[in-house]
Amino acid sequence: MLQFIARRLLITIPILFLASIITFLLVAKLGIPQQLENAMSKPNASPAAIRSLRNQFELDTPLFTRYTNWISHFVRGDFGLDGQRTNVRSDIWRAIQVTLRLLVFAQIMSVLLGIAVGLVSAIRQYTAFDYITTGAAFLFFSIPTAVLAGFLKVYGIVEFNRWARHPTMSQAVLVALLVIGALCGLALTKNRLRFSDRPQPKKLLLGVSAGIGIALGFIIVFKLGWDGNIYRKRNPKPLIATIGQASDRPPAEFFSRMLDYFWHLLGPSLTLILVGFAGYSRYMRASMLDTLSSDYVRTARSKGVSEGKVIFKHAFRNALIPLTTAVALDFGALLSGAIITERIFSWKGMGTFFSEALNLREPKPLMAFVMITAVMVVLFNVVADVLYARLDPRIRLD
Amino acid sequence: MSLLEVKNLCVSFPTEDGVVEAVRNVSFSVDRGDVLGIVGESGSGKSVTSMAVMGLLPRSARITGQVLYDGVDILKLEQKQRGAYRGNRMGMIFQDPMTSLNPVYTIGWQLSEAVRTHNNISKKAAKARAVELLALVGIPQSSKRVDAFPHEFSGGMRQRVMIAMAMANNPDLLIADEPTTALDVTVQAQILETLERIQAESGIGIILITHDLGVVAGMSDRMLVMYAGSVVEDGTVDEIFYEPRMPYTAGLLGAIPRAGAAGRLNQIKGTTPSLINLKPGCKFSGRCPLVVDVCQQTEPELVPTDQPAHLARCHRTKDLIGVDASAMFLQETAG
Repeated sequence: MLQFIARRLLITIPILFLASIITFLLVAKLGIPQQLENAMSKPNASPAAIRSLRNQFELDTPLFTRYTNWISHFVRGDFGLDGQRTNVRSDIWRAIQVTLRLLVFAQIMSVLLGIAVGLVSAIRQYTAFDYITTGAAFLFFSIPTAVLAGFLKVYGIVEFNRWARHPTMSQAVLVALLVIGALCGLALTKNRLRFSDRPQPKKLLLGVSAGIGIALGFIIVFKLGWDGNIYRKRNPKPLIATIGQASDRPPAEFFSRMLDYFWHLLGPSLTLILVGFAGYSRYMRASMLDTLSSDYVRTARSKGVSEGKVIFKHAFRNALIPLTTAVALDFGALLSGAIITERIFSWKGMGTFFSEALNLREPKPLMAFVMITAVMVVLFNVVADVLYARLDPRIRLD
Repeated sequence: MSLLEVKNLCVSFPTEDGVVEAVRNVSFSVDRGDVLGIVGESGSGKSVTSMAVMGLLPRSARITGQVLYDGVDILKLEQKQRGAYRGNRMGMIFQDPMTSLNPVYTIGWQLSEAVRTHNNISKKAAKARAVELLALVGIPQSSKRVDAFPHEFSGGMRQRVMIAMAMANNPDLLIADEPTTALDVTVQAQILETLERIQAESGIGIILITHDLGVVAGMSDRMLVMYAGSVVEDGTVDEIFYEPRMPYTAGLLGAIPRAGAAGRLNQIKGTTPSLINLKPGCKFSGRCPLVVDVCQQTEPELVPTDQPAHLARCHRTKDLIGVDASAMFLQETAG
């Protein structure tokens, strides 16, 4: 095992070397930085200023020298300076922290939710739960992230904040909430909706009305409770934040600072969780259906093992193998950030870092971003391989 | 009272295209020490019958009739009580040993699980039992091999493990669903030899499901021939092999290649009927060389033939007495 990891890590060196050359060439051919272009387009641009900028961006140095200059500093952890002469390393480190806070939470939540939903919908294939979660997964998977994020921000958070202040809602919203409640109630009934021997309309009706009832009850309790709510009277601020990763002046006390982070985290992470959950739940469902119909699951049943143990020890354990490797690879791609979601919720993470660097055609930040992402992807590939071998005894690493 | 008595078992599956009548009115019984062979081609209902006995059919299956195990109708039991029979009082081995063992657990773990599911004993004791079971089915160095994973075993070895697993709790009944189909011929013989030895030592009843007539001839006392979900012939192996009373059986027997025989191999033309929207009449009538009008109108009953313990489902049983029916198929093929 250790030998395998060592060998894989050695192989990553030429891969990353190749990646650095490609990155460097792509960035070098991107065009002159925005800053230089701005300076040159000024009518009274002084040649001296332009020359100094060209020097700063090493535009007149031969490509090879420029590359060796950059890479020799880069491997020692010096990522260089950007056009404003600020240190790229501290900039990108700040962005990484913000991105990790958002994405690690969102990723873990969407994996857990995806596994749970996929598991249940495979066990209860063709039931109301299966159809409703399948429908939801398709919806969230096919909506472009920008639309979903914008929609959540405007209709989810801004509207909710308004409602929290003045608990009134339009009939359309009320109907929509009741429909969602009805669907949730329906999902909890155990009815099979296909090839059903004994259709049970009573049970279906019960589920729907229970869902509507709970939704209605929730709205009423919330409305009544909110009228005398102390929070609302003390805090002029809206509850759920829509902009930024923290308040401008976050509270000093630990607990309230975490709470402040949480309310900021809610919007963007909800977007990412819905999208991520959609993919993982479909993957988990397919994987689980596969193992549930496998011969060894039938063998386990023929031994008289209880259904719970058959599902968890035999089917679930095997269904997790392909999912784990997929999740490991996704974690590797985490540091590239969520460009669209970060933009819409104004988070200053890796996604924003990258899109701003690209807009300004800043070579050092761009190359640092691509290389860090590449390192993570390559490393997590090794992690995925190791995990795969740990989970499946048929895979031998040496 | 027999160990296992199946009475009028019917199994059907509702599907989008209609109801599939996989098993219709199957009755048989097995005693301790018996080996009952069930033969038939793919889709004849052999496996569904055995799965119904084990209780392994999906929930969508509609099952009627009775399955009496030591006089208790196990179809009527609750899931939990049913689980006490499965793997404990009856064991089952399957067709494909390559995929029948869970790839992520050791052989010992899987054998211990079978033991511990029905006995309240320590892990250590269960493992000792696992080693004992592996030795029972003839796996050398069983105390070492018990920690191996399934992929480290060959197909024949895996099937031995499956037999060991089915025998873990000393059941009275073993259902072997095509135990040798996926194995090559020399390994087949070893597996059958193992089954025979275990049966001789423990005196269990075995239901041997196969489409290999040779396997049945070598191991069974009685046999059932199934076609399109129902039993078409029921008798001792000798009776059925030497004097078949149903054209389908005769056709099957004629299709066995024989060493030294010249000429074309016998074949039964056509395919099995769809089990959805079954037509009235004998289900074999479309392929039968002896077919007459009545065959297409009413389905024959499974009734005694000229030999009292030998049952057949055919209107023309009498016309098969003393005739080499397989020759009729041959003429048909030639003409």
